[in-house]
Amino acid sequence: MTPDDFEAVYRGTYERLTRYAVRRCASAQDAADVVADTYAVAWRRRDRIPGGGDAVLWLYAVARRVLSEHRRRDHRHRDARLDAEMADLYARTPGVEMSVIGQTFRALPDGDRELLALVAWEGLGHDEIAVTLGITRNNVRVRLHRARRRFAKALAANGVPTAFALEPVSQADSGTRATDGLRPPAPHLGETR
Amino acid sequence: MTDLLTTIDPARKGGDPDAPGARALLARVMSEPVPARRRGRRFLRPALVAVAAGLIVTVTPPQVVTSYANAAVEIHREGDQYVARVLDPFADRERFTEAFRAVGLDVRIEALPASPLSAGRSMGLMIGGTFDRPGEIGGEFAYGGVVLSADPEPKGCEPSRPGCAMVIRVPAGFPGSVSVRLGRPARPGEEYADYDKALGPGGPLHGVRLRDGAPVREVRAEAERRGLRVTYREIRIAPDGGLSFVDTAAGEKWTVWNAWQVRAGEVRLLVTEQRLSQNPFYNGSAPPPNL
Repeated sequence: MTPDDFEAVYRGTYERLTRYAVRRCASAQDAADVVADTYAVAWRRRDRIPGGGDAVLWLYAVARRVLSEHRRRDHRHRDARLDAEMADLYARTPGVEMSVIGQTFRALPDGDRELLALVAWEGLGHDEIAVTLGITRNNVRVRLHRARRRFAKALAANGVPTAFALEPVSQADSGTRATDGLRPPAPHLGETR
Repeated sequence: MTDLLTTIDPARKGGDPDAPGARALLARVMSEPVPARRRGRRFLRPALVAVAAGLIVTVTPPQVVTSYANAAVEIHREGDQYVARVLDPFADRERFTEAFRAVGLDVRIEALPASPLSAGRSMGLMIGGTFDRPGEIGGEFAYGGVVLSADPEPKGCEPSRPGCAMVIRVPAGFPGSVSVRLGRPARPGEEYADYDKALGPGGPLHGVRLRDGAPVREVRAEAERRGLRVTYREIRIAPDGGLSFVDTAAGEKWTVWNAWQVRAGEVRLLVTEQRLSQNPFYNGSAPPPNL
């Protein structure tokens, strides 16, 4: 990958990668660090960046590792302009109703939260999540279903009932399989256990 | 159900890759040299090194070394580049010249009077010569895949603070000449070479917004409130977009588009009599960060 190609990747992914970082970092400085470190890693490994739409998925995967390492490391990148630009991307604090949802969401296990965020915020499909997390599509489907169920239960417990939570669990399970429809349900279960 | 989450999306919007901080990040990331690949060559290397070392002894003039240090600067080789750590930015210029010459490079330090904002910092590199392999990485001049740079390290640190030093990076074997324009504290009354820092952090007019122009009356009042002497130059715009400046006595209603720091306690406002449709210092593709 030539420097020009890298610059094209940077320009094509910066908007989405900054959003990814902002959604997962409490402070703009942390988000700026994650963005900076992610692109630094990408530059060093630029020969491995896949072409087209997969580039951003590859960067999400890098950012995910950077995030987990970031908590154990000192900040290295300090650019006041980047910090300020990143602070500008944060939404204002939502109202009370929203904060119940937010608190419930933040209390979920890390894995559930990441999956739900990739769907709701990054807007990724199952195939794209599979690439980002390095797991199979079936695995994504099952884990996502469980994450949704746990989220719904937790919401219901906090006084925010959802249609999903009101269904008996067994029905929710069979309903999901029915919508997937084309494949028989049993092998799915076999593969994922 | 995940649509509930969209209402609590912490990100209001995504970043703009053209914002100054984002552009600086790209330049910084891409200026990082990529380590040479070594896969599969490990066992071959000692032999190659031995042969190469033999060649160097016979071919290279004996006075060329790969590291050098004096009271002003310490230079050593890292891969395909020389890294020079400035120990004393205000040392005699000749000490720098001799140190770089010792490793086979033509690098000089040119000290220019500067405001405290730029003292000890590089105000740009002047690169001379003709090259067969020039290139650009992240908008910076590069040769053989190495960017020529003169920046404080660790990144963004204050050169006057302990642990922070100006580091000059030059590709090994670079055949051209490099002049590093280094800021030195201006003597009283001496004009600043870093005149364009007036609106930036720490500058005398930091916080004044001139991106969309502002009336002379307002800017002058603010400058005087800060105890600054104010002079004016009128902006002349050539047909090709080039700017020139002529001393003038501006009217109250003229428009200010930019400000320079002339010397300690004095600023120069760049003005036009008629209001323009856009700021002539801002051409849309490369916004000066401070406007």
